[in-house]
Amino acid sequence: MEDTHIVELYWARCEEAIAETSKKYGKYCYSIAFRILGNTEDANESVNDTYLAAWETIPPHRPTILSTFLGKITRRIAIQTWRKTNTVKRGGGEMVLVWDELSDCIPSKQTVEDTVEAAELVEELNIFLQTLGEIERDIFVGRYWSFLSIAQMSTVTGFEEGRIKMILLRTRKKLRAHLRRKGFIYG
Amino acid sequence: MRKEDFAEVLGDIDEKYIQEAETMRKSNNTVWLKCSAMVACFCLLLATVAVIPQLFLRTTPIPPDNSDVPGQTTSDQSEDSEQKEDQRTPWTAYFNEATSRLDANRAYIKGYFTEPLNDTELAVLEPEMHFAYMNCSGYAGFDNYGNLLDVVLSVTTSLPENPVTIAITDYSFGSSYVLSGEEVVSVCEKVEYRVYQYEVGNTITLAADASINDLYFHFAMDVTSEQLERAKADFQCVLECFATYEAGKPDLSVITPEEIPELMEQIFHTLAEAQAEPDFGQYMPSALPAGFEESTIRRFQFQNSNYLSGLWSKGLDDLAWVVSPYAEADAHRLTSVEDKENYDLALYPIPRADSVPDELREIVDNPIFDAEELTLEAVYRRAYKVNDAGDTDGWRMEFSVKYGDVVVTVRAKGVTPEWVYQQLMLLNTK
Repeated sequence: MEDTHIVELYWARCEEAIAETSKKYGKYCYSIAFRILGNTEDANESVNDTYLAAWETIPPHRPTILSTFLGKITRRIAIQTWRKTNTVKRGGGEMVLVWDELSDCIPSKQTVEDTVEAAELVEELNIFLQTLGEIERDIFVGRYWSFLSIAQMSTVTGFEEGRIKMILLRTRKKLRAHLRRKGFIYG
Repeated sequence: MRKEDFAEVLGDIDEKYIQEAETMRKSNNTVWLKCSAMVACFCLLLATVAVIPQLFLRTTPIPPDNSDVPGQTTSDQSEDSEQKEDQRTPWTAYFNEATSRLDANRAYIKGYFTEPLNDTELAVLEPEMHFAYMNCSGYAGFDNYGNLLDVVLSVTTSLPENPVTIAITDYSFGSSYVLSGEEVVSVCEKVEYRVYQYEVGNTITLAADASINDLYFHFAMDVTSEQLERAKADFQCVLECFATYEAGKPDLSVITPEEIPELMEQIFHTLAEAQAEPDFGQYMPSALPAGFEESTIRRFQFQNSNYLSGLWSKGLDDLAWVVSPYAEADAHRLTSVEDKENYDLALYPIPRADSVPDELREIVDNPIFDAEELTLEAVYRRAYKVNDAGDTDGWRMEFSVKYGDVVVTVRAKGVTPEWVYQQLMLLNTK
């Protein structure tokens, strides 16, 4: 079914919308949740919560790209689940590794909490992504948005793992420099 | 900001970037391979038109911004250097196949000594960009005035037994390679790397030379053919890390010796003078074989050297007698006279490169006997004769004897086993 039809079903408050969403994007949402949580039970729960969240937000929203809309919801729910259940003690999934990698790019505590809204940070991230070449950007998003493992990135791109790591390393370095210039990171 | 918060904020990036990345993944390898192939073809075309003639001429270096060689970085024409950096595509090191390497060793410098690099010194040398598996260690080499001459770093890779060794100097060693084709220069972050691959026996050496911020860098990594592909990826990563010294030239002035070891050198003109030397003189022979004349007797002590040596000759025959402290590093060459496989040359016909097992090579080359165990028979088992046109046919032998914490090493040609044994036995009484 076309995405526009699925969205129409949501707007019509027809429960078939969830069945169609599950049929078309269930695996996609599950893969995002599983990469973050690292276990089937929590991942399935996050996907079900995603459907519920979609039901509650459409309407009033009318997403233009349903896949990324659902992906964002799943990602957020999975991260929140991770935080609640402290899944790191049970193995964690790819997220623990990703956080460690990003630790140098995380804005300074005082800056964000006191004066900068998260929205401003998102805007800067978008500006930063715009400056990247397509290959670097896709690898960065694949790793830090979708939580793909280095091995998966290697399979997808055909690049050796060492090369993927190097691209990520270089991109993180640029991100850190960008955020520092914009006053999000001190030192 | 907490890590979790940042991860959530990242989740709100523009959907077009998420979709772009997902499109890439949905098409699996196709798009990427197409892109790679297109880039490769484009680069090959440009290389053919623009760069290869320059390589043939090799009269001037490739301009830093001309990175259209296969496997090179590319850059746009923007004035904004940061923007330029962002537009670069990942580089690939081109491994020039070499049939052999011609070494140009630095002249011997008396008083050259080394010291391990401490954490402060390593911090200066380590590039800002590095991988978790990359740990640096190394040493610095100085002349006997304490002037820094060179630095050797060892950088670990994802292959635990195969580090990359990096020699850093402010002068070029002038190594050169015999290549099977025309040399291709790889450019990374404006650094020109000449990258090579050559094979000696079962070992493949990956090597690279570059001048970075007026310092000469030589990189080398030894691997087996099974490790080659992974090693190449790691080697390239190390090269890329060292191409990005953001602070510019490393401040080598922080690398200073903690202590300049004292260099002691003394020349003796007679055996009697050497016998009077306080440290090792008593372990010199009591007399010389008939007809042998004094040639060089030298006492030398420096960082890793401490010995009294005498070299005498008679025509083509010669006798070297070296006295030095016993070191733990010698322990693997200690042998009992009972263990004939460790020293009996009759068991190992010439050429011994073929007959001596690898694991016994060092001990068979120069075994160390305990002085109290040594027998004339053992000395005979170390001695052999050869018919070598143009040379004398006298006994040849080499072995060492341990007297407490001192080792005497004998290398002789044209001296009988009886004479050597007798002299060594006399030392037991001292």
